[in-house]
Amino acid sequence: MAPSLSTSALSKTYGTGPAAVHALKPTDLTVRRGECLAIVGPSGSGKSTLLHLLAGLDRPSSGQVHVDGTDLYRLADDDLAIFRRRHIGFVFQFFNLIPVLSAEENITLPLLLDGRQADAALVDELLDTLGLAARRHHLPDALSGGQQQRVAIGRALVTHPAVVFADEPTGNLDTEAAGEVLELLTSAAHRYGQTVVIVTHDPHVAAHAGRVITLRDGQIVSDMGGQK
Amino acid sequence: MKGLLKLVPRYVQKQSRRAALTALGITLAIALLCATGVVGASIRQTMVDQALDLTGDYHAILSDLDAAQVVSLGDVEGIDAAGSSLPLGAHYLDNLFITVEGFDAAARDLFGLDLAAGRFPENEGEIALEGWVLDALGLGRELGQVLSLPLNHSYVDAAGAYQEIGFEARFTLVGILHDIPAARLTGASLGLVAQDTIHSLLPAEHVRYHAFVRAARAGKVHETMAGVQRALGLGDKQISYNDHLLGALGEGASGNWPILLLGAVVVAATVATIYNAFQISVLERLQQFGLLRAVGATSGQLRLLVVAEAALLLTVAIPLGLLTGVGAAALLTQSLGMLDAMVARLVVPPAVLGAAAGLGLLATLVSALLPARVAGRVPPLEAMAHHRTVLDGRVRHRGAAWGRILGITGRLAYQNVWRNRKRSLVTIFSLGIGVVLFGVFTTWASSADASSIVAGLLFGDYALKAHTPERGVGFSPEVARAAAAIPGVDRVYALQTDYGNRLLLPASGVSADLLGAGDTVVDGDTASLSITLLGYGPDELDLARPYLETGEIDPAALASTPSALVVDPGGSTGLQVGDTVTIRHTIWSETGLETEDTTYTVAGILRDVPLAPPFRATGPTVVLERAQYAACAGTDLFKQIDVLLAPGADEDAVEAQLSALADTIPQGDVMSLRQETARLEAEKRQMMWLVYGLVAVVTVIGVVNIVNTITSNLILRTREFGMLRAVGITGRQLRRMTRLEGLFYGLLSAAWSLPAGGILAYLFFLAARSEMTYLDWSLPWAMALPAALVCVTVGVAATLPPMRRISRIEVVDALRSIV
Repeated sequence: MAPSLSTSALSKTYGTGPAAVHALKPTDLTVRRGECLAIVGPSGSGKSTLLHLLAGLDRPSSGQVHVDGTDLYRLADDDLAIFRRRHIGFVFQFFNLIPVLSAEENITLPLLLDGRQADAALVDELLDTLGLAARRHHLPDALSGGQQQRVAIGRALVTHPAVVFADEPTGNLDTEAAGEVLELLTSAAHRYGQTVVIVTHDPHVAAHAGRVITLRDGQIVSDMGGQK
Repeated sequence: MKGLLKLVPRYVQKQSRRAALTALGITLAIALLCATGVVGASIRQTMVDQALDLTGDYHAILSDLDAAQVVSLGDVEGIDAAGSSLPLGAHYLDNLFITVEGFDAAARDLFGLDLAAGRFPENEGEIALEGWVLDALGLGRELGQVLSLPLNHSYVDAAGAYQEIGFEARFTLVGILHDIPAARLTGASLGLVAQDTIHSLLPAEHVRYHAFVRAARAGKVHETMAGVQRALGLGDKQISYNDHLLGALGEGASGNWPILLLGAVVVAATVATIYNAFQISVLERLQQFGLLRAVGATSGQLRLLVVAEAALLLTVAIPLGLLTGVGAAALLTQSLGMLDAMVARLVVPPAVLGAAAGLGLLATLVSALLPARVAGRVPPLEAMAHHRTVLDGRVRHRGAAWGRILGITGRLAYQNVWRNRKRSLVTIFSLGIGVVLFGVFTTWASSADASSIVAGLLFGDYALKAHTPERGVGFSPEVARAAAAIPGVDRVYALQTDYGNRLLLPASGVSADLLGAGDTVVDGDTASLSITLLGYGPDELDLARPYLETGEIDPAALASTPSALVVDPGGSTGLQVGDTVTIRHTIWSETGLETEDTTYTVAGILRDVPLAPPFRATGPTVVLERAQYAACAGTDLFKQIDVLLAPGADEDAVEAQLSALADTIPQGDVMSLRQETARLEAEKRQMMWLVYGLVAVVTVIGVVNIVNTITSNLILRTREFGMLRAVGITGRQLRRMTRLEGLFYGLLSAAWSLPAGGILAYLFFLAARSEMTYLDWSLPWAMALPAALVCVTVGVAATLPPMRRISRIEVVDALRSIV
């Protein structure tokens, strides 16, 4: 199967000279379409840096990132933003919902930003799948943490992105809600054939992924479960 | 605690740019307050100085007192100074009368009497007079000379009747008084003698005192005098006030509401600016405060930290603000001709400096404490995570319509505006204040058309004016005829005016207001009202015809029979057509005060008259035909001759000839409609520039507020921006959203401030029109759109600095601030 996501010699260095910090050493990585990848490692190992670079949120010091065949860092800023809203989904630790928009509006936000009308059937399906049908008109502050994270998952999936990135998606949830959210994220992505990349500290979360890579000191030290 | 305070200079140093901006905001606010206060105080001081020069330094005069009452006056609470005078009598000459009175030293001080030469009378038979009066009496200015004055002493007898005694008194001139202001103009002078002189010349029962009184508190004069009235058992008519001085001192400040409103606006705008500046300063450090709380700092310590920071900034801002304010006031009063004319000398009262510094201090401390309280209440972890979003519940229902029109960015922008309702309202209020001020003054300017002001002063293209109320001074009928004969003159209207006449009529029909007027006298069933007497010819009567309410204007009948037209729009005299009234004409002659009564039939009631003099008596205006006027007033002279030009007239040539005619009397002058209009327009322009300058300053404050509000909203929403960028909002969309926020602030500000400006202007018009009769209400609709556009432009422009900040936000940094 064609790779959904690939990097070549991707690196990130902060500072120069003796003060330089190599947050990510040159890294090559390929993730296949539909694959669920967990990135684990201790604090400061470079996993968030890798996630940000893969998602087109930060500029690398060197190397390339291809998502669905597009070289992200050849795109201008606005083009990159448009690419992100059409081809990439995000789930953050702190949910990051717009407090003035309802659950349904938060889910359709990337479409609205793109000037598109949301497909009502798709939104209904997503709300059903995420168990939010009864809460679709609620503002975020009227939702529990788990419900807010489910809204964030809906927002990440609504554009049928090639890749969904999740940064500690359960870090702010209790065990029960964390399990639900993880299950929803992986099963929904599987259902729509999407690639999922999760950054986590939590071994239980990593266990949900088909492939786990471990980072230490800015480089991949192990890669388990993936098809070689 | 001491250790914690060490953080203050470090914070200030670390955030030097923000601290400098905050200090600048406070400095400007204090400077604005100070400059407004100094200019206001200087204008007021000038008015007070003029009032003191003109009338003296007393607040009220008590009349008809006996010696015991004068002594008791010293025991009444609230009196700062009191002096007594004893009237002896009046000496009348043509166009001049001298009241001879015995002043004690305190009364001399309060009345502002000063010597040009010699000394004040101390002994019986000594007198001091003004130099010009000695000239008018045909005496030299040689001290020591003996002069003899026939005097009339008037009094009310036991039956309440008005009586006079005539006698001749001999005096030795011991002093020459400095000219008493306005004495020469009004023809009323003072002969100063020692009180012993009065005791020696008048029977004891005729010795009645006047007292000049100054209250200890200028703002409580009427209250103090009410106490005096109770303590001495005085009637209402025994107290009269120095209205000129009290008006200048601001007693009964109801007329000052536009200035108070302006002051309130300045204070509100500056407080809002300082508040916003500190709100941002605290919000930016919310995480640091969370950290301090986590390591054990109490809410009180955090408040202290912020207050200490405010105090540090104030040590710079207060002296700088006061200096800038005084400097700006000096610059304004010197560079603007209109203010220059209103301010004789710049005064910097410590109270103004104290108030400006105090208000700045208070506003800063309150502004610092409120956000510090918020910071102190935020749970440490939440503050450190910067996780808190201020959100008003009502925001849910807003913005859907804007979303349909402007898309998701429009909707988000509108909702962002309302996230923090209070802050948004402060911002919208402060931006709108400028528009309100602009609206009020522009409406005033459009209502106060200079040509209509001038039209109240002269009827035609030119007017010959005799600038004196003196009888026997005016333009002769020959001058009027000569003016009419000037080539290019189409028509002339001439006005005869005489004061010092009274209208006697049945008191039963007179309104309570008119009966209560200070110079109304009621004697049995008859009321005696002070009137303005006008003399009109056939042409002038024709002009008056549109003002007729009842009766008729028949020039021939008005000339041949003793009949009069009465201006009484509200029916306050109770007179009807056909009623009989008496005009009591008062004449001063060498033999004393004489009165002459003539009875007239009311031929018509008018609601107003054309060609009225600018000042009128408290009672009604009465119009007589010229023949009747001459018989009553004993003169056929004109106080004003209005000249209308024929089309194509050579204005310069006409003006030159009119000037020659004006010079036939010393107080004569030519007024030109064109020149007066131009002069008033220039004055109005200057005032409007001053107002627009103020509006500009207030608008700058409004802009600073919007910049601050949007910036602080941005700080609160950093995480959101990161997320929005992550899910694909483009930089263009983000900028559009921010611009739309500014647009909404502008629209909302215009939405409240334009109607508010119109309403306030109308209230101002209602309050002012009784005095400014030339005001003609009109709303400057054409200015509404530009004002709204300015509001919107300012709103959008104010988003530029925060937008630069937005564009600098890196997605990862924004996300890092929360993970």
